[in-house]
Amino acid sequence: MSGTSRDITQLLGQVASGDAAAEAQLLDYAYDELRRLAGGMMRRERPDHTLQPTALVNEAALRMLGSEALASGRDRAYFFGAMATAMRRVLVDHARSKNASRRGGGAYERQPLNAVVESLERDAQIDLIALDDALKKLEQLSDRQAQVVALRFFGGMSVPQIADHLDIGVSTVEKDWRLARAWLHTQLGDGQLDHAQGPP
Amino acid sequence: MTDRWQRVGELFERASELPADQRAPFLAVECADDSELRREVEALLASQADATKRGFMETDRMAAPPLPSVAPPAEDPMLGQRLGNYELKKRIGRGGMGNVYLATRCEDYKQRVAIKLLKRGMDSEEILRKFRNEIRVLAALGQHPHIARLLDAGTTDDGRPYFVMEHVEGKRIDEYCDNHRLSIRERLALLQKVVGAVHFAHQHTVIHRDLKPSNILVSESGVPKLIDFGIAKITTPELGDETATPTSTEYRAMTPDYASPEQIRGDSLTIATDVFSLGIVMFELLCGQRPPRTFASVSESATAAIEPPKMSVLAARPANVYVGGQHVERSPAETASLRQTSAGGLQKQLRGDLDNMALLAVRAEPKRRYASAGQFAVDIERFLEGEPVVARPLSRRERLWRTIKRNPLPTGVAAALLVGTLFGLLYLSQLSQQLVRKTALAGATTQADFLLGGHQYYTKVIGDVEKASPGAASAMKPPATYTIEQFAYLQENRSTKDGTQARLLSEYPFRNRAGRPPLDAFEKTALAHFESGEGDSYHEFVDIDDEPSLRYGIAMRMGKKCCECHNSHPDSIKTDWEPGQVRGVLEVIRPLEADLHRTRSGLQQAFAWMGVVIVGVFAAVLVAVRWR
Repeated sequence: MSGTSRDITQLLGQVASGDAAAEAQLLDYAYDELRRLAGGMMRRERPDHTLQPTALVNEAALRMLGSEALASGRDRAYFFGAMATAMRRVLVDHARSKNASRRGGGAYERQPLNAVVESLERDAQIDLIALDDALKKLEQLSDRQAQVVALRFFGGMSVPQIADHLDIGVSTVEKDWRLARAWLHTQLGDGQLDHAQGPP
Repeated sequence: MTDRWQRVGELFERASELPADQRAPFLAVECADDSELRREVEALLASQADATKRGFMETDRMAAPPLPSVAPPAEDPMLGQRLGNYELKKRIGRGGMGNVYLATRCEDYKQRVAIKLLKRGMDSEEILRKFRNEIRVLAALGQHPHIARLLDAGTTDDGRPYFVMEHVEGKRIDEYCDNHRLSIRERLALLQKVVGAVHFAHQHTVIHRDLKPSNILVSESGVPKLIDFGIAKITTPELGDETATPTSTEYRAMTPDYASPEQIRGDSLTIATDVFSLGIVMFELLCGQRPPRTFASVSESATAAIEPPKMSVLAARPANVYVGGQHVERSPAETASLRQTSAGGLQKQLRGDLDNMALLAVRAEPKRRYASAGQFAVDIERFLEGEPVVARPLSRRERLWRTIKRNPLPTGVAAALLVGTLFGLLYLSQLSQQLVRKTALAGATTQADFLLGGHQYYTKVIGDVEKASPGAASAMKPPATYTIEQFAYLQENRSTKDGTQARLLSEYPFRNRAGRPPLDAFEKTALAHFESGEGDSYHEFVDIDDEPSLRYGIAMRMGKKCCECHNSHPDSIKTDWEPGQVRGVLEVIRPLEADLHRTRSGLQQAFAWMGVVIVGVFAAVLVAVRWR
């Protein structure tokens, strides 16, 4: 990612000044990155789920377009932040609507994103909705720590990448991550797995 | 960051660096005056150990290897190389299987071509087969005048296959139309050719999947050509399994602005996807802008089938358009002037058939779009020739049905309540008619019982009299006296079958008549009522022995002859009667139990049936929505 950092900032500048070719290139890049992220989230799934990351990637890309991350001409830090936010929104919104449709007792329609949500919750041992709520609380305590968690968990970024991205030291990121993870673990408690897996 | 949280973080960090047995003493010193702080840090430390053990939020195992950078390598070794008669000049595209180069013909530098070359290392049997299929399909498609032609195919020295496509020199269709200020009809004629070409590809089992203005080029002489069938999907299974699993190229095989809802969802694609994209192109060419996306998320697009705004409506809004590689704002008047008309004129032209045609092409449900690009093309032709088009606006019924489908629960409740209420009103009006009849019948039965009782009594008396002394019956009592005695009899017998009672009350009975009744409250009130001249009848609904009843009294007034008889009779206890004076009250007591019971059970039935109807209609609506 660092190898292309200048390209992205440059592309963003061109997009902001209305260059459509740059926009297509940037969209291409966003697609690649989102696909890499989604692929990571789905890595443990069976191969017959190939269609589902497509929906995840497409929807996250649509949200990114909607967030105007591509058009605002901000730097690449903003771009990757927007990407992590888009992923988080898509996954959490979907987890919420999935739960709502179950609670409502209505016919449980299998949405294309369900498998992604389930796989991620199982793999990271986490309930996405509870995590989202806890992250909002963490923002009150420390906005930066909440960002570190979001970039790492939803943006799939490594510690050095996050340090670079937030313009802080690697050791600060590590400290933030350790503290935030321990705190989130106390917040989410031990019962989250039952909830994540839903009713039998 | 709050100060307290910062302090928690510091202590947590320092404590975790210490060996486990030194943490407690350390925290005891640091948090000497704040036991809550100490508890918080201790909880975090414990949680940290547990989280590590369980792999809580362990993102590392989710990390995927990063993709190679998209920025093209500085130098592609293929550039400048020769393939057959062509020299590769510039890379203009890349795909999963191979790259696309711009090349020139060696002996004629002016003739430019596009060459797709299979990537190195991609020469597996499988991929070679796919590549050959692509060549075969492109060769077939190239026969169409509006699809880029396949010029040549071959193999490089190191055995990699390539094919040579006509490099279309032209402008994007939207730029071409604006540059030449084409009218709506001219634009439609151009679009019709494009749609026809797409139909041709569909007939050759190829779906383009990425139709957009930049893939539709128009030459200076005005001939449109479709390019970039490189990512096209072949629909017939025997031509390759590209239909089955999406390959990595497919992530890029979508331009969100032109992608259909099913494409965004990642569903399997059909020719309807191309029809949708052509519909968006139609919007852009005719009204100068694309419809706003009517769906914002995958799950939403699955259920919501909201119609986008009409072209004639969009034409009145300023547009953000792409000109010469830049996005610029364009006013409705400018948009119209590029179409040789005024803003109002443009809206008028688009209204009606054209609006309907574009909307039919971009319906959210693939099945409800034009059945084929061919049908779309024919419809454009019909419009241009002034014939009626296939596309019609959604009928009132369809609109209603969509609304219902989007809101099944509220509609179900509303329908159930409406039908239930109508049914209830009908049932209740029916019921009230029944109750009126039943009550009338009960009243008549009681009356008849009374009369029959009186008749039987009088007959018996006459019989008795005749038996005792024949001929004496002619000297029977006058009717008034008889009536009094008849009611005295009824009173003695107390009641009819349904419990109705009759009472004869008088303040001044004859001495020889026994059983002077007590003057109760009702009688007093009734007498006062009669004597004050307010009327000759009086009633009250009261509970008698806890049973709801009707007490009905009528005035018994003295006639002239009655007065003479009473005033002169030796047994009379009052001798100053005057005609018209109230002598007493004839009272009928009717228990209402039977009537109330009848009404109650009728209402119960009414409510039960209303419930059945409401639940039934609600269920029927839900079933209908689910199954249609």
